[in-house]
Amino acid sequence: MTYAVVAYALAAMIWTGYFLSLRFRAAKLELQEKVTSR
Amino acid sequence: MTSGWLGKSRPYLWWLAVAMLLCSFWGIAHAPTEAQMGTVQKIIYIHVPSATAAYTAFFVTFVASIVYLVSGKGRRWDQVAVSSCEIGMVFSAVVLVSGPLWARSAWNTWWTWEPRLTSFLIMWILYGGYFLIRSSVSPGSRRDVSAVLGVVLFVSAIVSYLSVAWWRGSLHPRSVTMTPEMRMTLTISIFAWLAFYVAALVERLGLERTRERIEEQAR
Repeated sequence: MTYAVVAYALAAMIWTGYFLSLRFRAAKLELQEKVTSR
Repeated sequence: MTSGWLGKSRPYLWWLAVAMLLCSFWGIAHAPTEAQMGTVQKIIYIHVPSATAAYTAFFVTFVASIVYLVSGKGRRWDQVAVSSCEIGMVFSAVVLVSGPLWARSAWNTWWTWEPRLTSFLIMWILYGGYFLIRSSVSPGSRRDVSAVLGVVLFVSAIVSYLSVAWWRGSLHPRSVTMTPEMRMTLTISIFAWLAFYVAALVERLGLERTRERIEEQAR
């Protein structure tokens, strides 16, 4: 049971990390866009 | 961030993916427990769908790269290729993390250098190189080099996929005996993660398009 739970928890962590990185990159680009359009 | 039909379809895609994943998790909770391995076998419902989605993602990269090269440099295809490749890497990471947990229980070892595991790891590292090279070449040739890599690297995905059939004595099973309920849960899970892949691809495409728009503005 423990291994299965760990596998699902790690998968959730990987995807959470990935979507956080997407959000971070999107925010960085928005900031960059504001600077460029000035 | 994304305009047009792609941006409009994004929330619906996410709703579909989440609904299908909820169905999949319900199935996993109610699927019968395997007699020999016990609940560890339930790793199959994330391991196999993630591997399927990873191979699909790399196949999409391969097709988009070919279309880019053939169609006279349509940059949208380059965006699809790089976005799909990145999501394929994440799915592959899930496969590489969930696999050893299953192997520990099935083979009494976390890792063994048998054909499927080795070729999958090599494939993952090679696709990692795709991003390394993409970021290191000049912006002028970035798309062309990436497209060539997207085509060439797909060979590693084919080798990994067929490794179980090509090398005899492979520990990794080609198929697993399952009850109809287990098979149904696995099928639902595969479709759920494929829907998740499509939603994630659209999300990632939005980012890529914004990046290109800003790069054009800066020029």
